[in-house]
Amino acid sequence: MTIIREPEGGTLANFFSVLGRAVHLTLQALCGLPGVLFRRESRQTFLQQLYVIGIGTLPVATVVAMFTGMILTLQLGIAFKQFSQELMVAYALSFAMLREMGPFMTGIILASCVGSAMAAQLGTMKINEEIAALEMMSIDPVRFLVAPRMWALVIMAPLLSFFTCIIAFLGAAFVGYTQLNVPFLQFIFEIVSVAEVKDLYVGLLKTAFFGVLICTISCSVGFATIQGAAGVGASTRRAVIYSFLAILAGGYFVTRFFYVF
Amino acid sequence: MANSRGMIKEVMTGIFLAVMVALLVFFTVIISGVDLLRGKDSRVCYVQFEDVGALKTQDPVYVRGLKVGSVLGLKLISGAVKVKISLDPNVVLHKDYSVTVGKTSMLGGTCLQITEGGAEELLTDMTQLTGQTPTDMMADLGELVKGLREAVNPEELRQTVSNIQKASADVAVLTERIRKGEGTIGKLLAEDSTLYDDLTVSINNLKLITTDIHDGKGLLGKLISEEDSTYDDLRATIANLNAVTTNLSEGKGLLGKLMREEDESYNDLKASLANIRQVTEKLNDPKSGFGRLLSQDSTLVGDLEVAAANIRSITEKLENGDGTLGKLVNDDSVATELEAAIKDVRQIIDNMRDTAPITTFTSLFFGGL
Repeated sequence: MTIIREPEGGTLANFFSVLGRAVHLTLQALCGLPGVLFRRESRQTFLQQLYVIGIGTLPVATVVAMFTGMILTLQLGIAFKQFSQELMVAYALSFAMLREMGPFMTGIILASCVGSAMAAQLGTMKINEEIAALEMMSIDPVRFLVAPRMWALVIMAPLLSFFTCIIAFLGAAFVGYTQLNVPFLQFIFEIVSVAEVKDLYVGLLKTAFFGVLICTISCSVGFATIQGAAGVGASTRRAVIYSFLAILAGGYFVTRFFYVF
Repeated sequence: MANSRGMIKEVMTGIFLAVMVALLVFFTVIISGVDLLRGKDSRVCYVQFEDVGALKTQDPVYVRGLKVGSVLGLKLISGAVKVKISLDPNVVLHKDYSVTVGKTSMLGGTCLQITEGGAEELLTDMTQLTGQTPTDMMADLGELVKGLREAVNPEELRQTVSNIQKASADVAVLTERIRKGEGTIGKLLAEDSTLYDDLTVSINNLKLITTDIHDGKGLLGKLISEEDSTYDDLRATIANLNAVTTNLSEGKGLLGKLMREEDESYNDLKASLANIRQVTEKLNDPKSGFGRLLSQDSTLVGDLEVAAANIRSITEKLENGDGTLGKLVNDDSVATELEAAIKDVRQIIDNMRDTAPITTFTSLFFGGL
């Protein structure tokens, strides 16, 4: 079964067909880890994607995380200050960032920066029939193109999420010190004291899951690109939108799985 | 050039990965509750509780408000919970120590609170401690509310609430009146300063009075003043009064005797009063003689007046020498003649007494013939 297939009408069967292809692509890509590690071309792509995902999104992630932490602290601080409980901001921020906000923000950043790029790149390759050429050369485009990207996202997304949390904590502590008169180190200490290992690692796992979702959606949409340059643009837009929706829905189910069941 | 650029990217990526993984490990260790700075010195203790409430792993352990360790783990054993904690080796516990599960804030959060105790004897084995069951404030509050519901009659409660509402309404009315400047308090609070001025004047007057008293002026001042003799006089008077009352209480003197129930004077007086009461009752009784005399319906007074007038008329006549008696009273010759007549009569009687036996014999003799 080739991954290259043009989207058909909006029937229910088509929806399940797309879903099935996406699951198949995901499993194929995840199973392609040995190829990623041991094939030189795949390894190069893998390292390149690590750089793009990790270092490439670092400035954006830093700014977004910093200001998110600052805004959250400011807003929560206004509320908690009425009860003279400024330190509770640290507690709330610790839970919020580690459990939900860190992974969510990272997912959004990755979907915007990396997912869109993946969809555009694969879409262009599809338009230029490079993918068809790979298949002609008996090179599995999924293992060659998707697997390095997916594993790069699975590895780098959690680290980026952790980085996002750290930056957000620093920004929050800065605002806590300047606006709420809470000493910087005390703020950090309170955040750390209330943080739990489960929250941290569920958050990291959630981000890895988001990475898989982003890669699957972006690559699927990219592979399904038609109609030239306009199709590439549409695929990019679709990839971002679908990734956002998947991140929101996936985040809910992961949270429910780990904190309710 | 391209290789060098690719190398830089790979190095940067590697550094980022390494740093983030190291940070992640560090953060994991920190939030796991392992105190890297004091980890080597801390000792492990076990505290057994019946119930630990919401205590969980990594909760802090406090002594006198200072963090001296953390909860390492909790294990359910038969009928109890065994809590493993790390404890600062500098903490010394006495025999009367206590370990409780406390709250870190009103909004939640639990901790272990250790009280060292003050007994002279130190705790030798600090590895096995016994904790006290935590107080569940919400459960206690629930019990309290339940008890109140059982104790308080709903109708009475409603009545109480109704009374409170009425009281609240009254307070509202009062405050409204005060706000409007009505009543004394309202006038005091109002901008109109008349009452305030009056109060000020009164206070000034009071101040003057107290000043006078303080200066020894007036009776009160003299009484308060140590220099004046009024106090001594009053004191002597009170002493005398005290002596009088003592005498009275001891039954001395007439009053004292009167006040003593067992005294004869009192009894005599009591009897006299009873007699007087009987007499007055009789006087008041219109059927009795005196009652009739005192009765308004009696004609005796009128008769007496008439009799007195007659007697006055008779005496006037006697004095004027009218009538036989008047002449007898006023004319001495009549008296003299009467006296002579009386003497003659007495002489005749004496003669008759002397001749009586002869007469009697003669009568008998001649009568028998």
